[in-house]
Amino acid sequence: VLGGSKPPFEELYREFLQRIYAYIRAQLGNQAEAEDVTSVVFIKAYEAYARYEPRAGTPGAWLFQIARNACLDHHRSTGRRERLVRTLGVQPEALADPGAMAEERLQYRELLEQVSRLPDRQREIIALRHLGLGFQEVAGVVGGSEDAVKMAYHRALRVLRSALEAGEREAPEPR
Amino acid sequence: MSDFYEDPELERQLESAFRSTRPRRGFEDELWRSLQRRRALREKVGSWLGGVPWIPALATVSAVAVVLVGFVFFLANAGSGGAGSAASRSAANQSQARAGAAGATRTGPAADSTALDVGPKAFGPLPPVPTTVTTAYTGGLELSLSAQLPALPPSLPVYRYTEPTGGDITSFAGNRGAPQLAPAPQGGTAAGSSFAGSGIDVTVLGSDAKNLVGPTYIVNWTRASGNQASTGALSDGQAAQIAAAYLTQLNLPASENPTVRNSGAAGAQVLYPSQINAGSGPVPAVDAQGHPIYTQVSMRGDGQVFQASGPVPVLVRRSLYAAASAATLQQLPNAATGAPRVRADLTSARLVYVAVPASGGGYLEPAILLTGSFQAEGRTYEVAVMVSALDASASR
Repeated sequence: VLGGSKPPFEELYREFLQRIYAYIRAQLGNQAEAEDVTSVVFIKAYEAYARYEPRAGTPGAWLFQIARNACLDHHRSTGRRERLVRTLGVQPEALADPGAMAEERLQYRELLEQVSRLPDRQREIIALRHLGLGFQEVAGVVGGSEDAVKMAYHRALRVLRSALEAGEREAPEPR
Repeated sequence: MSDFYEDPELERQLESAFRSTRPRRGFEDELWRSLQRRRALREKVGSWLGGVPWIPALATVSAVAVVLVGFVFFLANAGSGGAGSAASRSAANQSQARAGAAGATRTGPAADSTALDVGPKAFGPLPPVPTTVTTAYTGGLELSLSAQLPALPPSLPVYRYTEPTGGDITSFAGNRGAPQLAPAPQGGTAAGSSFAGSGIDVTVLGSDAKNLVGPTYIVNWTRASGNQASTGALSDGQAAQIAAAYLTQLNLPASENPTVRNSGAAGAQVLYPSQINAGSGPVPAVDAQGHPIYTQVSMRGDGQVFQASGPVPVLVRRSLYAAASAATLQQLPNAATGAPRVRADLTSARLVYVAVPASGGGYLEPAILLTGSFQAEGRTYEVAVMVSALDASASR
């Protein structure tokens, strides 16, 4: 829709909900908080959609920019939250939820866990790149040049590969 | 750049991993319905107000089954669904030792919230405010548990709420006759905002993470209403009737069966305990120290109400979590913090709910409130310990 007319918001919503959630989930690492922040993202997008100008960028880049800001807001506000959790205990996940259980069963669980350990910028770039954004769009969302983003992306790949191999070496031998 | 690390297999796995990361089933439609409701509400109210820009009051960010209820109030019809919570596994960390005579006056959440000038605005002599001097016990404490623990159901609800935005608060105050006095915070959560109207002030305080209290309102009447109920001593029944009438007039929720603290000619306070639906029935809401949370109406001896305070009604979502087993709860309390140790026996245990403010909102969580008393340094201290009523298996 770049440069063209705007599709109905529901179209955008249906197309991007999973990807926005996956991005946020990778940034927050917690299902419940990821749902909350995803909700915030789409409420903001819904209210701002009348002002969204397709010429300024793809809907995906626009939504991911809102998602990134929402994650940053969330991180800023969780200082208090983390102190509270330290004081009061840990945060429970939902009870056996079919979706959550399916997610737990993912064969990619370890990979995503390694992604979550990447430095913030690398983690963002990896997630955005693999959620459908081109390097130029990723650069537009996280800031910096396209080349710098590519560099960070490939560096993150190398880190991930090393971490996965290290994990395999540490895994116990099957009997 | 030729030195880019290439790893097509890893990239393929990443692609699949992100593609398979999905929200729980039903979330997509729930959120969409919530967005639709939000639009419908906005349009409806916009038409009432003749197109005046309006931010929907007290909307939740995502709703499974959303009901408008009093925050830390009886959550009667919240639906089940999606989840997330912050367990108040407080055990020793939450132990609170307070000094003073048994039955010492406990102040409600509004009275504790003094960051803003929210005190009564006098329209004549106000009744004397009872004061309680408390002394914290700072010595070592060893807890033992002799209380009979309440039988918990297999699962307990946790309620997630969204902090009212500046627009919500403006709307809340405006609907109670206090138009906005100072600009409300844009977009974000308001820590505290005051509004004034004709003979009335409304202040809304945001969630208090230290005291584990959710958003709270304080209404001050700045001039007499002319509704003098009594020229003699105010009876409990009269006080309760007056309080109920004021809350109804302001469209503020209150539970049944209030208690009245009547000082006779000096005035009265009518207290409506906040309650949460634990699934099997209502249980009291408390703050970090285990004090009950009330909607409270204060009046002078002639029946003139000068202040009302209580939890701000907010939207909530409900999720079920596994309850802690009795064996788990038995292990928890032990707050030995140093020498000399004093033994405190926790003789009472009951299920309560406590607000756990979090980013942009918070959670109402079930907890077991254990209370007892002990003697030290010639004084009697009360001790309250809260432990999560949720099972550790529900924790991350």
